[in-house]
Amino acid sequence: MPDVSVQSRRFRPEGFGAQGLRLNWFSPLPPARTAIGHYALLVLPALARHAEVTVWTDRPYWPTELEGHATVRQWDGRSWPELNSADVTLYHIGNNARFHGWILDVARQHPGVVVLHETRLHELFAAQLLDNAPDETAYLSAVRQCHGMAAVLHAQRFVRGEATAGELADAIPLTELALERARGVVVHTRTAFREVAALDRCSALQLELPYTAGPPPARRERDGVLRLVVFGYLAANRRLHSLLEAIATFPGRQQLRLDIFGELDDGEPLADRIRELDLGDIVQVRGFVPEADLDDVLGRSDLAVNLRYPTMGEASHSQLRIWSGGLASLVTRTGWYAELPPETVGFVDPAKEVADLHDHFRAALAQPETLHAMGEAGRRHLETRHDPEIYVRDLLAGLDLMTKTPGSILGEAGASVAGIVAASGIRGSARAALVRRAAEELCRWTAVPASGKG
Amino acid sequence: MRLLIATAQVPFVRGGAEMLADGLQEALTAAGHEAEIVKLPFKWYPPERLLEQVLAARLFDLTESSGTAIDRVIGLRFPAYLLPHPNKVLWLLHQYRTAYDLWGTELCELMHAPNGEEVRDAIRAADKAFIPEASARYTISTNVATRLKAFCGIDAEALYHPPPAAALLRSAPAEDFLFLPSRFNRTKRQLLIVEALALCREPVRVCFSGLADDAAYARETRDRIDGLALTGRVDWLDSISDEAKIDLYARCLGVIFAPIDEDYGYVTLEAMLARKPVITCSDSGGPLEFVRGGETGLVVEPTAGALAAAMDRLWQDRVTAARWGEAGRERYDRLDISWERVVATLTRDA
Repeated sequence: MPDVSVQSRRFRPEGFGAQGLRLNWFSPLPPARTAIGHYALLVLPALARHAEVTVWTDRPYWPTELEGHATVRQWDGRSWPELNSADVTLYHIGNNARFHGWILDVARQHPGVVVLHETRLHELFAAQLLDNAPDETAYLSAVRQCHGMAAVLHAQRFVRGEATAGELADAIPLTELALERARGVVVHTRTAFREVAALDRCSALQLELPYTAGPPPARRERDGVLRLVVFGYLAANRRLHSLLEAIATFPGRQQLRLDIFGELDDGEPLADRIRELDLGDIVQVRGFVPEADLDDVLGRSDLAVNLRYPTMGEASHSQLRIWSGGLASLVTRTGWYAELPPETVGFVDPAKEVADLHDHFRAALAQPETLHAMGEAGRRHLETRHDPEIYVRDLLAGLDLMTKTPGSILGEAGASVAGIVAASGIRGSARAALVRRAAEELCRWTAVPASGKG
Repeated sequence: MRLLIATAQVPFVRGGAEMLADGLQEALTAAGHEAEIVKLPFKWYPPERLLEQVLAARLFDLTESSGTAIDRVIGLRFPAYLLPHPNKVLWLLHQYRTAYDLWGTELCELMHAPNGEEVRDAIRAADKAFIPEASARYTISTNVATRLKAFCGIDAEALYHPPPAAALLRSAPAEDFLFLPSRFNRTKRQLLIVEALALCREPVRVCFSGLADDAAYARETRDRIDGLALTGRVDWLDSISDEAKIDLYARCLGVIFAPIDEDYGYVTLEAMLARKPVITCSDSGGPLEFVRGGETGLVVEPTAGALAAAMDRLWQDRVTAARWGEAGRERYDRLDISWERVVATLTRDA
């Protein structure tokens, strides 16, 4: 390394704006089969007009179109100087360890703003702590820390193989673990906002998931057949088995067709079930469809079935895609979906899924024009509420506030002191005096906000 | 007065800061005060240790000792200057620089820690919260005061002190070498001087002395000397006695001192006391408070080419070099740099 000069870097003005916002963005990117990658492609062009963005990925390849908006780099596990020299780091976290495990590793070491695409993170943490180098103690300790001893009993069922990670997502969401070092959290649903606000770990911001509506869709002519479509990442909570049962037991089942596009969690059992229910001529499993072909798929369909139960606390990129295509859709009356305007979707009650699906099938076959009206209402809703420009404007305003609040490290110091004192065996007034003195000094220390970047 | 000098020390490491604390204690004692040095052991890694030491410093009670009041605490070094006392005066050597002016540079080890930014912000918050508690704030140089103002918005006044061997430094006829007595590390830029030496048109010779506290850098510099075939023009003396150093100061043609943003820089003052001109750089910090370009030495851009030209100039024009050396000594004398003045200022009623 040559000798250096520090002159040019001295006394840099502080705060956003002086030299433009510098931002790190950790996210899965296409071709990873997650909608969060597409979300990145939607937001980054708008964001890049206001900030200097470095996108970090765990893969050695990425969509070249991104390079017009941001610097794209593969995370090497040690580029902390680059992270430390930015104004803020955004971590996009969802429940799939394959896409988000590496991001979580970084987020738990370096402070930043967490964009939670799902709040039920049990599957993510279970995979992180139990899959590769199993550490049951760490897993159970995390559960106890977030949800108390009662939750540990549930978690032990999972460890023993008596329950799946997904089944425990509601009881053990572990959301708090993703926010350990967060200076702020961004969510996309009111339900998620209430949940993270209740945790009281950091500032929370709710934004509407962004989406750029495509050209107005061409809808197919009605022909007396109701063409259903399911697409996306097809985890167990997508209710495919309920949907198959509803189709199989529907009196006019020969008027139904179902195309299933996407990556299946349980391909073989689903194929078996289709055979058992004798649905081979009605249901087609077509596998993953490239994003570019999805418009055609939606254009050939009458009704999208976009169920989630249990919900992982997410807003649905797939739902925005459906609205963009002007397609009618059915959603579970839960989480974010339950908050949607009733004219834009048809609701399915998780307690009576099959009956509700039958009602919707019947109504759609009897009055196909209602599907058209629902599709149009959805598209209008998308155009007015989910514009990426609005999203970026509100995101930047939120980040500015979040990064002006002091980092969490002093709070951790306080917690460490409390932990040490608690473990020391010191009792009574001596303990009270010690804790009071440490607390006094920490309060004095944190009374002055930490500076911005310098 | 009963005074405590509060400083921090990396155990087993002794440098300029320790000499300054000793000098201050001696001067306070000579002035009739009762003075002791309190040294907090300092460890800067992992970064969380820095914050623990801030908190630890804040938990000391130095208001009295064995029932007798401690009249004043003089805070010198991070984090010891954060010790609470109702009558505290600061004489800052420097803040924790990697959290400030060195942040974002190649010299900042804190940047390489995942939580570096959080630790940096917490250090800044501590300085902003606790430095204003002092009833009076001085720094060892204007450079340190400028940083304090720029980063923390806190005013302080520079208070200069003499280098440790001030009374012993003398002058002798100039011989054919430039001198740099300094620890070998990247901030002192010995390698840049070697690069410059290779560009000199005159047969300039340089004498380095001082231990290497960055062995890799010292090795790199030695390799460069070999690579540039400069072995015959560089004397590398490692550690030398105070007497030897004083002798080299006396006999050199001039002193070349090109550090990166030095806080203060005893080398400059020692050269002035020995009536020698000083070559320094425009980003060298503390030396710029003393060196007047074209009057007491030369101030040049931190490039090998600019340094080479300056070295050639001293080599060619011995008369001017001697005149600048004399002017440097006169300037030092006019600045009224003395321990008496330091003691009077630091013990003055705030």
